[in-house]
Amino acid sequence: MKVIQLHKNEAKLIEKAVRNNRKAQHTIYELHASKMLSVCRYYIKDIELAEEVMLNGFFKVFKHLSSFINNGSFEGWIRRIMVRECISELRKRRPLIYSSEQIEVHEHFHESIHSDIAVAEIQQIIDQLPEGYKLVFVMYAIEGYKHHEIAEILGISEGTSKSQLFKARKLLQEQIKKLNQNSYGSS
Amino acid sequence: MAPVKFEEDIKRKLEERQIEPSQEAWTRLSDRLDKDKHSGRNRFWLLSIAAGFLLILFTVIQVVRSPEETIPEDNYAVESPADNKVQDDTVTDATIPFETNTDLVQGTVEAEEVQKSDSKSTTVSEKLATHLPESDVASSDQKDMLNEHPKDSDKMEITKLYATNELDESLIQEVLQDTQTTSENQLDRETDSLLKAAQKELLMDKTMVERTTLAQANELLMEVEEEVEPSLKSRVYEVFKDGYKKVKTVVAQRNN
Repeated sequence: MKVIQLHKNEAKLIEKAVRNNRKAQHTIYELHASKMLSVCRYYIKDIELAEEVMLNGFFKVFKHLSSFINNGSFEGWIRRIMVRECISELRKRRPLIYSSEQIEVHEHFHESIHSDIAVAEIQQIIDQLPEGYKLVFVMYAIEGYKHHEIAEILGISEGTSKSQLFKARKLLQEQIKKLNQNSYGSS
Repeated sequence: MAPVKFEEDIKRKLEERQIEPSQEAWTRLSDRLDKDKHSGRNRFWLLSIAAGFLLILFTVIQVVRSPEETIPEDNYAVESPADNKVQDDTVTDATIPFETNTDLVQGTVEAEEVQKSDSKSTTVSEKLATHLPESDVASSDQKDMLNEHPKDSDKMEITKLYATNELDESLIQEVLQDTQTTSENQLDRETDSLLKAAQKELLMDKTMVERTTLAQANELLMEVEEEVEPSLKSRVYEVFKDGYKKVKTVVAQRNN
C-alpha cells in the first residue's frame, strides 16, 4: 500500500513539475540530488565539477520531464540522464582513449573488501584508474549496463569494453589487496 | 562470467553513499530554469508577433489586390444605360463601337455638345455657391442640393435660396439669365438633334422600301421572260405588226 501511495505521490509531483511548478521541482531535486551527486562523483573526481554536471543533468530532467513515460523507474530515468551528462562532460574535457588490446578473460577475482575500508577510500582507488577503465568499470559493475550498451554509449566495440573491464578489475584487485593489508595491519 | 566479490562490495558501499550538494546549488538551478522560462516566453511572443505581422501583410496584399479586380465592374457600370437622359447623352467613347450607324455617331457628337452646355450649368451652380456668403449658404444640405441636382432644379433652388436668404438681387438675376439661356440653348440643340435623327430615319425607310419594290418588279419580269418562250400568238402578232407597218408605208408613199 505504501509503495502504491508513494508512486501516486511521485506521479502527482511529476505532473506538477511538468507544469513548471517550482515547488514540485524543488521537491524532486531534494529527493534525488544527493544520490545523483554521488553518481556523478563516480565519474568525475572534482566534486564542484560533479555538482555542476549534476545541475546540468537536473536542468535537462526538468526540461524533458514531459517525455518521461510513467511506467518505469523515475530514479532510473534521472540516473541515466546523469550518466550521459557525465560522459559528455568527460568527452568535452579531453578525448577518451581506450586500449585496443584484446585480452582473453579467464581469470577469476576472489578478493573481497574488508568491511572497515571506507567509501572514500574505494572512491579514491576508482579515481586512480585510467579514464577508459574507470568508465567501463563504473558503468558495468556499479550501474549495471551490459557490454553492448556500454559499447553503444561510449562508441567502442564490445570487445574493447570487455578488455577495459578486465584491466580495470586487475588494477583494482591489486589496490584492494594493498588496502586490505593496510587495514589488517592497522587493526 | 563468474561473480567478482570485491565488485559487489564496491557496489554496495557506493550505493549507500549520498553526497549533499551545496546550498546554492538549488538557487543556481532555479535561476537557470527561470531564465529558460522567460526565454521561452520571449520566443513565444516573438513568434506570435511575427505571425501577426505576416497576417497583417497578407490582409494588406488582399485589400490592395481587390480594387484592381473591381475596376472593370465599375467601368461596366458606367457603360450601362441609366434612367437619366443626360447620362445617356454622356455615354463614354467605349460605347461608340457598338453603334454602326454613322448618323447615330453624329448624334452622339451633338450629345457631347449638349453635355458641354450641361457642365456650363453645373459651373453656374458652383459659381453661385462661391459667390454666396458663407454664413448664408452655411447649411451643408443646401450645398449638397446644389451639387446633386445642378441641371434640373437650379432655378427652384435659387428661388428657394432667395426666399430663405437675403442675397444680392443683381447676382441672382445674372445667374437666372445664365441658366435660362443655357437651358434654352440646350433644349434647342436637343430638339434639333432629335428632328435630324427622325428625318434621317424616315429617309432611310423610304429608300429601303423603294429599293425593295423595284428589285421585286425587275426580278419578276426577268423570271417571266426566262420562263415564257416566244409563242405562236407572239409570232402572229409580230407578223401582223410588220404587215401593218408595210401597209402604212405603202399608203403614205401613194399619197405622196
